[in-house]
Amino acid sequence: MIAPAAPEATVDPVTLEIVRNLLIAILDEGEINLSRTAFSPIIYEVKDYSICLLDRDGQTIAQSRGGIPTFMADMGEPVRDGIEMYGADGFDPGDVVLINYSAICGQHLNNMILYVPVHWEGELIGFAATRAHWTDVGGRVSGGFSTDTTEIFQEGLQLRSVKAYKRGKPDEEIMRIIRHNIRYPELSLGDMAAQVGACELTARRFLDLIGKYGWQTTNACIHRIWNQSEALVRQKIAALPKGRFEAESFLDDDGIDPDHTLPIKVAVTIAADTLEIDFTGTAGQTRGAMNSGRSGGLAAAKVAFKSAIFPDLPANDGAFRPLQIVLPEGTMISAVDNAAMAHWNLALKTVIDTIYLALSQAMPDRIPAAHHAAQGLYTFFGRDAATGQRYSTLDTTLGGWGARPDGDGFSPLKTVTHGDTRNIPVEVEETFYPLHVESYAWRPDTGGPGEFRGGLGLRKVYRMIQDCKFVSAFERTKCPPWGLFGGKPGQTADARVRQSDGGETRSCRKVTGLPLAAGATVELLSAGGGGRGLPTTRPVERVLEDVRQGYVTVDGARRDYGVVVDAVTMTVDDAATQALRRS
Amino acid sequence: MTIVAVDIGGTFTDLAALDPESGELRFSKSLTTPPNFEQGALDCLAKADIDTATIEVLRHGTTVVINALLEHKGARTALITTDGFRDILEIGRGNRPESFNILYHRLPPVVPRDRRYEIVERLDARGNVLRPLDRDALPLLAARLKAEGIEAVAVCLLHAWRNPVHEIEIGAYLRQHSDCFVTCSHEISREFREFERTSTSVLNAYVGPSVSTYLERFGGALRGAGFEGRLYLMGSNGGVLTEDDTRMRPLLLVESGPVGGAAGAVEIGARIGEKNLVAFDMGGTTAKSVLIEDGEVAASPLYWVGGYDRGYPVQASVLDIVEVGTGGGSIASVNELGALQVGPRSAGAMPGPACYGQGGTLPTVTDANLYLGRLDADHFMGGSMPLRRDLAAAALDELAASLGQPTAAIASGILRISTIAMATAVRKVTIERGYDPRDFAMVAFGGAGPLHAVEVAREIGMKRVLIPPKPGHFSAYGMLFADFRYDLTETVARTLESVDVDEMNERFVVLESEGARNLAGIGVPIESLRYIRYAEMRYQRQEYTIKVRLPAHCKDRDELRQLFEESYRRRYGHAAKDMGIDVVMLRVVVDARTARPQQRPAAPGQQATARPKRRVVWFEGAGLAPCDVWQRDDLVAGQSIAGPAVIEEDASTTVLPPGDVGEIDCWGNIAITLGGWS
Repeated sequence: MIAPAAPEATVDPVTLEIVRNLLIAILDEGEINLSRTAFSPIIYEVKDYSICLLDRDGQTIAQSRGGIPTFMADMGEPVRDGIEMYGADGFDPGDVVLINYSAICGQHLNNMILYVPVHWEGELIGFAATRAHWTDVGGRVSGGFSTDTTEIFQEGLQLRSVKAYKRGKPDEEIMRIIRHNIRYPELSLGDMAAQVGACELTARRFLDLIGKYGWQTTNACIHRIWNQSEALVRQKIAALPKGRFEAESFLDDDGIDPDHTLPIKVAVTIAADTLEIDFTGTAGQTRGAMNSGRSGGLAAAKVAFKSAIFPDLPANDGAFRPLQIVLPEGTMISAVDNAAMAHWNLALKTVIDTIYLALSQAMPDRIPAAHHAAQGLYTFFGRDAATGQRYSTLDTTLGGWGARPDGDGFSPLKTVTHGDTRNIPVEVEETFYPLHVESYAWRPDTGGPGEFRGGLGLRKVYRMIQDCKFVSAFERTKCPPWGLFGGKPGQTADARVRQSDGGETRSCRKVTGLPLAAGATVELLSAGGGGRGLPTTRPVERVLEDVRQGYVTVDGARRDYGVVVDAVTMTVDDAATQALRRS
Repeated sequence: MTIVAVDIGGTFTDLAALDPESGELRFSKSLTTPPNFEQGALDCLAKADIDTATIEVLRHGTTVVINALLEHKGARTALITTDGFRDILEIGRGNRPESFNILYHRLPPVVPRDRRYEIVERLDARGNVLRPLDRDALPLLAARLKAEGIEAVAVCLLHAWRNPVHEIEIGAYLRQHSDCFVTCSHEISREFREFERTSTSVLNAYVGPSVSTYLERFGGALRGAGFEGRLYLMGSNGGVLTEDDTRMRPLLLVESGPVGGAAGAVEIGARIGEKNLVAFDMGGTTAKSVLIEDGEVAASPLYWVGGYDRGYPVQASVLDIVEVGTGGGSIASVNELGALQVGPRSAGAMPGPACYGQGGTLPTVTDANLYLGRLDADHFMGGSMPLRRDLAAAALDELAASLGQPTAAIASGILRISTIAMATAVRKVTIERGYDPRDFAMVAFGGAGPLHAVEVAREIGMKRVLIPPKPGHFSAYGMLFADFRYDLTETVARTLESVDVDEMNERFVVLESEGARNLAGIGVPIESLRYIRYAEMRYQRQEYTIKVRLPAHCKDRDELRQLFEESYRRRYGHAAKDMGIDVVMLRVVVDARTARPQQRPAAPGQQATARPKRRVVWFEGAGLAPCDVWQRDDLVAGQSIAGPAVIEEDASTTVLPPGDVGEIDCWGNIAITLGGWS
């Protein structure tokens, strides 16, 4: 039976702690195994993966601590699809199930979920599950990051709760279907093997744990861990001011129709010990590939909830019980009917920031101003003339984060959904790809002015050594990263292309496969974060220090902060400053 | 003549000395005496009754570098970069290791932006000059350094890993025309990735002046006391460095302290024929594990000053240590979940555990050990520091009451939870390299290591544990045995198909002779010299490489591929067919062994005469039961002790649970074979 036969209250605190620690250690080990054995760089370098243990109803027992933040206790739905399809009795030991089906998973098809059933004494007790970003799943463009697809069928192969292994044996027919429908099959099938290995290891360690402490005790501990997490989160919510807090923002466009912005609406209601996030009023799903399924909206809500309320507590089902989410069907974060989803997480960064904006009214001392949120995804691809080999780069820009309640915004970082993800070094790009980087530097004056300044954006300039093609996905140029409590917004992002024929510089924020000739330059500008508090209240000496460091220009100091600095002596004209600040 | 090792730690300065002729060993311990660290060393020498004039070689482990870095007490430093790239140091890699911390920030850059200067020059990734160096800018640059009062300068140019020509020129100019301490990136790292290499160069420059001062002061004080021998420093790669090496590359001392224990573990492993070991060192605040793989200490190519989450990267071969915040002083408490938690908060040396009677009231791991009879209140630190069982009990009682549990259950729970945390660290050092911990033996030391080692080993299925003599002094002891060791690397970054193996072998010879040149300065005869060659290889599109050990002469590309696939398969359990392979880096370890302390095994056939005392001690699974308590000095080679038993000595206590057997080997180790585990 799944319900604990022993009342959980009888679990002694030492055993509980041992089980809690071992569950964390088990998933750490699974994570090491996956990131070390995967073939796709996006898995081990970008950490585009997660590993979970779930109970037999698909509730998250524990989740790996690494991996990108968006994958937050969200493998229950996909696993439940399999349970519905096969029944609880329909899984044999050694089965391996794949699912990336968009109507359930709600993400781009590259995110492949693979899970295995866990049996104890012949009975199904749960699942070990992984999600990992496969380099390619077929579809219109290599790697899958098209900005101009309009339905999911253009984006690659969909698998819905398919048993790729049956009783420990790979199903060769399914392998053939996968192999012949994707680019770089050796990479993705290598990743699949890594996922299988990680799931099996995680399941084995879980069974070792049960072997040592017994299933009844283990299960009672799991329920106790859920309940403890829930109680603590409720307690934290109870300490917040009650009420309904609204916020809105918008995205530039869906990549197909440049003239229509996409509104995001959030209402956060804090009640006695629950917190509701309501997305009613958010833009309907789009023709372009900016959509995510319902799981996208849920993930945004969970990430914002966890990072604001309990950043240090491990994620499990119990911790999310006090969160209620209202998400109407058919919005761009709850899309249905085979909507395109290649850039499924592009909107989520702004959705999360909008939730923070609402929360900033309730918890002003814990929420930063808006971050760049532009994604700034870019790819160069082609065939290297020197080696004759195909190549394809993939990175996203680093930008400014919003001013903190007690300090300037930190910069540069990837976006809020990226977590522990690194950029690609210039020396590595230039060694392996026919690219040349001319400079990589701060953009002064891009941080939103305020008593606490937003973090700065960056400028990176590429020059093409050979002909190639370019993909970009840059957002938030019309709704700049906002400030809080009188702070001003940061400067927005852009991707500017200048072809080698000497023509004009063109803004190319969302392009797919734009041809570039040798000699062309691509200038990537990332956004700064929002400021906090009135800029004129920023101490003059801090403004001067920013000017000395080149974070703020002499003009910027005068314009944004009312501080007059002599460009030659680098000293402040006190009288002029006082006059300007008074006006 | 005497060979001496001095390990200056945060709280204690430790000394081990050996007379190579008689084989006599001496140990001493005294308090560390910041900022006059030399005083602690002199105190130790006096305590051990060593005449400074008789010291032939003094080996020294120090925390001076890591302290200067963590306390931000380095030199006023500048950075010179390629035009267009002065912000590399501050841009970093854009990652946020604390994924749910929306108020995240890193440590500030060591060199602020207004002290980062650009110079016109540019190379491409093949080392070709795209823009020549603007030599006319150099006098201006030197003048600016002077005007700004700069004490140290780092030079890190793009692609200097491939061709350092411009760095060499700038470095030579500045060394001639300024008083600054100068570090050029290629002098400390030949690896690509500009942020990490820049960070490494900057940190080296930052600590340069203070390490030079430290060496003058430390060496000067010893020489003033009559020392005429040679002074060597312990490098983070597990080897010994000369004073000159240290002045040039002081950053190589960043993990100078823990090296001794690892070197000691290699040595005692070699004596008894164990080549695969985990060195396990538990002290007051943390437990550290280091893997020893086929007789070599595992090193990692990237180290983080101030921790991975917010700190600064160092591209250098540093002992691969996995550390957890569990030590004797770790505090047990109830956290906000209402759950029992052990560490990472520590009672430190002051006030220390409740039982020290120095005002601490919070229960620690040491208090739990004392409460359960595993420590003897009257024999702690050789009886020099009596413990208060009543205070330990009071602290534990309070915690137990808040959880509604009997005190003994909570005390034993604290030990169990600690064991699990430490076992996780030990498991990590093995599984991250694809090994099964069950194939390794543990060498346990540090004040608290022997107290917990067997239980940690059992938790992960290890079968053998070695407790060396004087485990509380083992780090200093191990330093006596470290070799001279230089790590040299060269980034090649090309596909396997494009590697010319003859050329590769020639590059290895160049690296080896470069390393051998360093050895000319060590000033003592070399007994044996080893060159170990590695290639860092990976499948194309992977970021991580694996280190593949190569033979002295690699035959062809097929052999390279085969060696790579073997290593890959061992580590990951599978290897790919038909996948392109990159050779990213060549790596050479030059290992020079000089005359080293010879110890002789004990003669067999001694009679054990001492009898154990009896005491009631708690053991996992068995609860409280009377058991034998031995004094380690009374034990003789060949003697066998069956658990449950406790073996006490000066600065440490070994706990032998029921079913396990400890045998005293001819080197004085307690060699424990775990029994009864399933």
